[in-house]
Amino acid sequence: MTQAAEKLALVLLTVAVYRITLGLHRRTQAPPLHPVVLTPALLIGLLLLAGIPYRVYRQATAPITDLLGPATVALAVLLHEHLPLLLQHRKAVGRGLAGGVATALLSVGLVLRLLRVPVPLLSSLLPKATTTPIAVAVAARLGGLPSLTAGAVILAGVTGAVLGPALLDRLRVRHPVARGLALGTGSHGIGTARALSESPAAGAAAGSAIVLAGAVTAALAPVWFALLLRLPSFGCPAPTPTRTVMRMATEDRGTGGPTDPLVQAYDEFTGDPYSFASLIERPALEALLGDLTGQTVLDLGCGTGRYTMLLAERGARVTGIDISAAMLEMARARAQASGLPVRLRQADLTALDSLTEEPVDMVFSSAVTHYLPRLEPLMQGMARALRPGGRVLLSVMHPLYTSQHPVARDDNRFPEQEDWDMRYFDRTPRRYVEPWVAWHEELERFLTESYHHTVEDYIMALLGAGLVLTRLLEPRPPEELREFSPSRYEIAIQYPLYMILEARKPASSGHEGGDRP
Amino acid sequence: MWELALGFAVLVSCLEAGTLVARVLPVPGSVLGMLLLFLLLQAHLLPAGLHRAVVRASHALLRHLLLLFIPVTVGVITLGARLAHLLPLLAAVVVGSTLLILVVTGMLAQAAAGREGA
Repeated sequence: MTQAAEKLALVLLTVAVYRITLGLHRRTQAPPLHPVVLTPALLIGLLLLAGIPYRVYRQATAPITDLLGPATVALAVLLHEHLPLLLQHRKAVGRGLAGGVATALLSVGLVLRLLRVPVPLLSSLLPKATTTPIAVAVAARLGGLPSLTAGAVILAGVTGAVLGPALLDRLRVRHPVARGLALGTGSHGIGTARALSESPAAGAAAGSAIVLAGAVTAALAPVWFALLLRLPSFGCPAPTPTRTVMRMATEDRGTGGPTDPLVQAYDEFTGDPYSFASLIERPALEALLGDLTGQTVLDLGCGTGRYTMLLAERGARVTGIDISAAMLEMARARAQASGLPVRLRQADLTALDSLTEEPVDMVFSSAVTHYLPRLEPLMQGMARALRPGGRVLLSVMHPLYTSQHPVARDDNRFPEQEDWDMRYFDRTPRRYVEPWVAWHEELERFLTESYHHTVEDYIMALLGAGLVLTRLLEPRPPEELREFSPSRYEIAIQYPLYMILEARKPASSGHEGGDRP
Repeated sequence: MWELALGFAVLVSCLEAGTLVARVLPVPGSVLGMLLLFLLLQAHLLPAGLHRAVVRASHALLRHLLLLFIPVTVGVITLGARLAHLLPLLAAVVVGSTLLILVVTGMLAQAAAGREGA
């Protein structure tokens, strides 16, 4: 299928599933089976079955999502039409809405801040009582996760629609306008649908409440959010200033097995379809790998096995090597689930000598070298492990990128923005917070120690090990990134993030690379 | 069809104007566009034909509002394991807060509406 046809198919599929669930809803009327729940659930199932990444789906359905803006503007018409009713009950409307919006912002804001939930989650949930287009727009401006907001909005809607009417009966809220206001303020569109089924007046009040509460929330949320961030502790202890230094390639961290938060966060990050690794590094490596049928491959620093599995899928017999037992355990589970021929071994990458009984056809490694203090032992180990004519595919964090990592300090304090300056020839170890632990409450305290190597270091270590450089690539961000995340595109176009080196061990007999003086 | 397209054009114009203002305000452009359209409708600043067109187009769009946010909602699949341990807590906060809003809004409005007379 061409790309355009695939995009159209995904749009049509979305509309079709929506129509079907809508028809189903008209017959059953059960709120938990509301199309707003059932349609995404069915679509998620279909995408998983077909193996379509969300990134692809989201791009394809952008024309649908783009209509949210005009639809929010269109809400003005509802307000305009219901204005007479609102003016008639202006006291009820004014007090009800003021109380409702205040309750919404106070309850979510204070509870999440008290529980010290990561800030992006707070910004995602703060506008959850408003209608989806407004909530998503507000959350996005505060740095939230739009999908989490959408999920929370739906949960708020279903809660009000299912439990709301009985709760209001209990409280003897009988006036249709009061009932409508409550359902619209707490449960937006889904609550409005429920209010409409009670009476037209309740429906109209709920419909207007969506618009008014949405507008007021949109205006107040940013101010309240800023205030909340300035009141960080509420008597809770401030985050501990002592930080643990983590040496990824030489220490076996994450002792809790696959459930260790460090391992989970790492796996989640490397599997994230929006990460730079997925968007920039992986496509370049996929293009370079080719068919590996029958080849023996070493994956050095395999982590939880993301590239190990890719190599195996290309037909290779892979041995993944990593220092972390917990990461290897997760990789092993992944390999077993796939049934592909993968072996996994725990070992230190700086002592590769004892690893391979037989020379291999290829040595692969991705994003590992910046965790190694010196390149020579790795390069010489690779050269020794290879058969004559064997291939090296080494993907590294680009030296221009690692040169900006903050230089380690004795006090291990959190690096400030100004610490991220380029120090190209500075060999001091670098210490910084990995992006994948950055907003994880439990992991934030880890400072990763990493090492910067210059381009010269890489090339000379490679040549010094007797390997012959055949290609050097600096993969660029794809054009599609400009479309769905202009800010990230800007980062990735400013300086290179990855450098890929391809090398060969000379086929000629005579000298074995690693034995050179 | 012509009228719908015209109405849609008005909606998009309001959105664009709102987005422009949103550069200096922390409020989303779509909400500002909504306020702009409300003012236009309320003050009868739009010619009658345009007024009718935007009302029709708005109703057409709002009838299927639900469809429009389905792609965003499907994105919950990307939330994944990093959030898994927090999801029950977040869900409890959402449910609790929603019920609290219903109670506060309902009771305040009932008290006021009761006095105003149904």
